[in-house]
Amino acid sequence: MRSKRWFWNPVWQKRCAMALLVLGHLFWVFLGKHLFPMWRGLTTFFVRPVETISAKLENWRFERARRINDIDAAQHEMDALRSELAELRIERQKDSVLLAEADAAKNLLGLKKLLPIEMRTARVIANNRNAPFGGIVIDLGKNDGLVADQGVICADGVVGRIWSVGLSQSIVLPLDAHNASTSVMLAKSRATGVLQGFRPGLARILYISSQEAVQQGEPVYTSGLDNTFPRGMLIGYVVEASPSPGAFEMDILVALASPLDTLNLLFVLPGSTSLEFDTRLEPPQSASRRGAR
Amino acid sequence: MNPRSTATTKMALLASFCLSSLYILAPWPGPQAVVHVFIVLGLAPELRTYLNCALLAAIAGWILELSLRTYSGMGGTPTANMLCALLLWYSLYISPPERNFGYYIQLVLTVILHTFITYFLVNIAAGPHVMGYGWQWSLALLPLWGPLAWHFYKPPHMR
Repeated sequence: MRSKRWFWNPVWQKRCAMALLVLGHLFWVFLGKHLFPMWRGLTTFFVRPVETISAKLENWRFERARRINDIDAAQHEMDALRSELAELRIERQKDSVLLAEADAAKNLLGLKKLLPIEMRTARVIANNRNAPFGGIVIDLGKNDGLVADQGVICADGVVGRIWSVGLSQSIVLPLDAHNASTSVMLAKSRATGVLQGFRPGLARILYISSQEAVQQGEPVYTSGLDNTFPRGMLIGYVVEASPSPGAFEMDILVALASPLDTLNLLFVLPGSTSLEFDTRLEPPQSASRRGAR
Repeated sequence: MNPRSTATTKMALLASFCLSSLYILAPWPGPQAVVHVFIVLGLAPELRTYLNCALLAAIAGWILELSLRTYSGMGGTPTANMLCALLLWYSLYISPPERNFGYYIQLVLTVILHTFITYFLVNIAAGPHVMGYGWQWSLALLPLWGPLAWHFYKPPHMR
């Protein structure tokens, strides 16, 4: 007990405080330079997790803000693209009619260059060929020099012939009409017959002997015997050929090549008196104009 | 009133005033050095207890270094202050001067020693630096602050 009081009395307290004060200062002066980096490293070590977490949090907030900005920008861009796409679709719908017409005109121009005869271009005004006593109305008539029985073709094949003529308009009788008749020939056998309308887009060939060999898919051309169409113009393709039971003729069904439902521009061939062929074909011998109808 | 407590109160007030002046005089290094030396060598050794002496000297050193704000590593000045103040305190303790002349001689020698110790410790703590003219100001103005220190050193019955 006495030893404790001997050491821990006010005198020794002062001495200890004095020693701490002086030695502390000396320690700081001589070793402070080395302690400072250690202290800084220690604080850095303990602060690092907090800094890492705060940096991640800050990065997360920044990324989120950037994402939101990106989404907004993308949304605006998508809206702009949608509106632009809608405008383009409307323009394409507007231009599609012109494009189709341009394609048809281009085909017709090519056909006109191929055929060495004088043809007139006509535009389809109305197409009511499926109606009773209907036909295809074109914008040429008597004033333009048209007469009945002039042939009408398009870029894909034969369409029909002029049935009735008005002053400025005419009605075309298509090939698939029941009362339409055209002299045709088969491509391989060169057998000739008469094409008669059967159903929309289809026609029959009459007067082909059952002895002829007819194949499906065989092209059918105009024979030129009716003096309405020159020889060798495409009519269509054979889709069915079978001998008629109890008869000497074949029953041949032809799919017409020309798209009769979507016609726009047509060519009107010259009349029978104007048909002069540079293809060295024989002149028509017999005209079955009204009889073939 | 006890003359000793009166002297202690006066000394405490004077020490507070000088510490404030030490901080305020930072833009003028010469007068600041004089006040600083007066606190360390003129007032601190007269506090009678070595702990108070060392504390006052250390506080004066820290205030000086903090007020200058140019030290890259601090602690040199307060350490030098404590060592010199304690040395002077011990010197006055073992051989108290009878007359003011001996006291002034001790002050001059301690000022020079304080200059070199401060330069040495600051050099260790903060690196190479310029010594400056503060010690010359202190020696030149010793006739002003020396008698004031002698006045507080004398026993109350001699004042």
